Amino acid sequence: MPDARVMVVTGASRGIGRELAVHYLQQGYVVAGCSRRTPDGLPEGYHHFALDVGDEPAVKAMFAALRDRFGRLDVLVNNAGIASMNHALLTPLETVERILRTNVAGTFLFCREAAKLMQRARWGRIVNFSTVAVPLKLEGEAIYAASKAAVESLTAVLARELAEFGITVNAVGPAPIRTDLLAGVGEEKLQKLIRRQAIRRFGEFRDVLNVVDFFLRPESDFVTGQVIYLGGV
Amino acid sequence: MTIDKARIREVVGAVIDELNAQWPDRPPIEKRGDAVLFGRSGSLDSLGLVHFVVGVEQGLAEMLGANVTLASDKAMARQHSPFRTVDSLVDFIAELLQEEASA
Repeated sequence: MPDARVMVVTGASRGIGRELAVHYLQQGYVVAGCSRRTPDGLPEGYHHFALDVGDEPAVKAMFAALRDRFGRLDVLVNNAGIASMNHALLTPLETVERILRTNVAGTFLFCREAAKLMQRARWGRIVNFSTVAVPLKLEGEAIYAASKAAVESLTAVLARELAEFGITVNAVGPAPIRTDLLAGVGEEKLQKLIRRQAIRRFGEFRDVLNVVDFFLRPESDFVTGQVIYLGGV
Repeated sequence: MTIDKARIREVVGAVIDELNAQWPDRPPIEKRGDAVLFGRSGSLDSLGLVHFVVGVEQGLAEMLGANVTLASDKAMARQHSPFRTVDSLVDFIAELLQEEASA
C-alpha cells in the first residue's frame, strides 16, 4: 500500500479536471483520472482510465484496478460533467438522457465505488461538482441545472449515509469559468450571468482549487453535506 | 467451471469475524449455514447489512479475484432474500460467479 494519498479525478483530460490532476500530482498525491479519451502530455505518475463515467462495468473495473494497485483511496473529485444550453422546448430526450447519465449516474457510480474502497480506512473525502446555474435558475439550462440539483441532493444524502464510514461528501458550485463547457454560450449571456454575482468576474481555476483544498483539509472533518458557490451567488 | 462454495464460505466467514471484532458490544453474528443474517430475528440491522455486503464484495475481490455486485436488482427482486442466511448468501454468490464465468 503506498504511503502517498491516492486521489481519483473524473473528467481529467481537460479543463478544471486536468488542472486539478496536475496540481495534486505536484502536491504528492497518487492521481488516477478518467475521461472518454486518453489525454496527451499529462505528467509521469498520473494513471489514466479511458471510460464513460456512466458505464457501470467500466467504472467497477477501474476501481478494481485501483484496489489491486494501490489498496486504498483517500479522495474522489467528481469533476466530469457535460452541459447543453438550450431552451427546454428545443431539447431532445437523447440530450436529457446523456446529461443525466454523465452528471447524475456518473457521479453516483463514482461515489458508490469510491466509498467502498475508502470505508476500509474509515476515512475519505468526496468532492462533487454543482454549478451556480442551480441557485440562479438559469433559463436555457433546464436539464443541466436539474442534473446538478440532483448532484446536490446526492451530496447531502450521501453525506449522511457515509458519515458512518468517516467519509465527508461536499460540493463546489463554480461561477462561469472559461472552459470548453462554456464554448457554446454567447458573451452577452455570460456577462448577464456575471452581473448576478456579488463579485462580478469570471471564476478561475484557483477559486475552485481553494474550495476543493478546504474540503480536503484534515481540519474539515466536521464539514459535510455542504455546497459552496463561487462569486457570491 | 466449478464454483468452490467452500471458498465462498471462507470469505463470508472472514467478514463475519472482522465485523464481530469491530462490534464487540453487539451480539455476535453466527457463521452457521442456517444462521439468520438479515430479516426477522437476523443479527444484522440495515446499516449492519451495508457493512456486511461491502465487506463480502471486497473479500471476494481480494481473496477470489471476483468483482461482483451483490446488491443488484436481481437480488432485491427475489421473493426470498439472498441475504437471509449464510447458506442462501453463499448459494447466491456461487450463482453470480457461475454466471460471470459463463459470460
